[in-house]
Amino acid sequence: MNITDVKDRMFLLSILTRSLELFSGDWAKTICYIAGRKMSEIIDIGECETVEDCLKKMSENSPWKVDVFEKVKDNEYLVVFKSCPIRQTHYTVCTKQGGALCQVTHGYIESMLSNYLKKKVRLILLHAGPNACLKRLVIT
Amino acid sequence: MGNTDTTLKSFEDIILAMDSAIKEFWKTYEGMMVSVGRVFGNEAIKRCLSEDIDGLLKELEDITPMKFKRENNKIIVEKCVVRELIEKGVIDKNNTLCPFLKGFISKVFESIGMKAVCENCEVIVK
Repeated sequence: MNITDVKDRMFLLSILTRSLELFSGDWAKTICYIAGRKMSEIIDIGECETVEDCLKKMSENSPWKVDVFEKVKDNEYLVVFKSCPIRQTHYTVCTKQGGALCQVTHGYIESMLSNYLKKKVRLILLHAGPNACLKRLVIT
Repeated sequence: MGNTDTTLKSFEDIILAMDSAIKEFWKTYEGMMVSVGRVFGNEAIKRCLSEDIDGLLKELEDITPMKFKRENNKIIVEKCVVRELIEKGVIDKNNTLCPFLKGFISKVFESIGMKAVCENCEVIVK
């Protein structure tokens, strides 16, 4: 396998998402969110109890590398997405961050954390950058 | 992101999840995905300048992860990332991506006044 294969898959992923956006507008976000939730079923990170622990184990076992940047409240965190396959796709194929494809990440992280913490989790994008994204994580 | 194989696997996991999400979202995904492909084709032809088959195939190779070989009215899909994923067992034959690419190709050929029928990784143009 070489880097061209990775690029091909990124290409496919981006044209598929762009087409879904053109065809169904905001429904594309829902489809990508569902895809993210399904990803959380594929990737197993083992046992964990706290948010920090979950994010650490997830970073070790999946392509997403996420760190807690600041604990704002007991149920609110600022998290930094240092490595993200979706952001890599955006920068490889020259598409805009923050669209439907980013919902794969949201669906994956929210579903994975919800399963382990047994609480509802919401991610809100604060800043999308070329090397990292800052998001607010709210647990209710 | 780790080594290439791990990276590749993670993208294949995402594609598999997308395929599965579309199936869950649209029970009648086959027809739906042909339409999704046609919509993308409509967007793509705005940027295509070619008016003949060979030129169009070259432009298609630039905007999709596919490679084509022309034999008169028959176009053989020499390289297709979806086929690679099926052969590798990442997604099954009954996936949502094949109808998507079929819709896309048929719409693109309509832009040069031709009708394209895609079957078994071959495109017959009339």
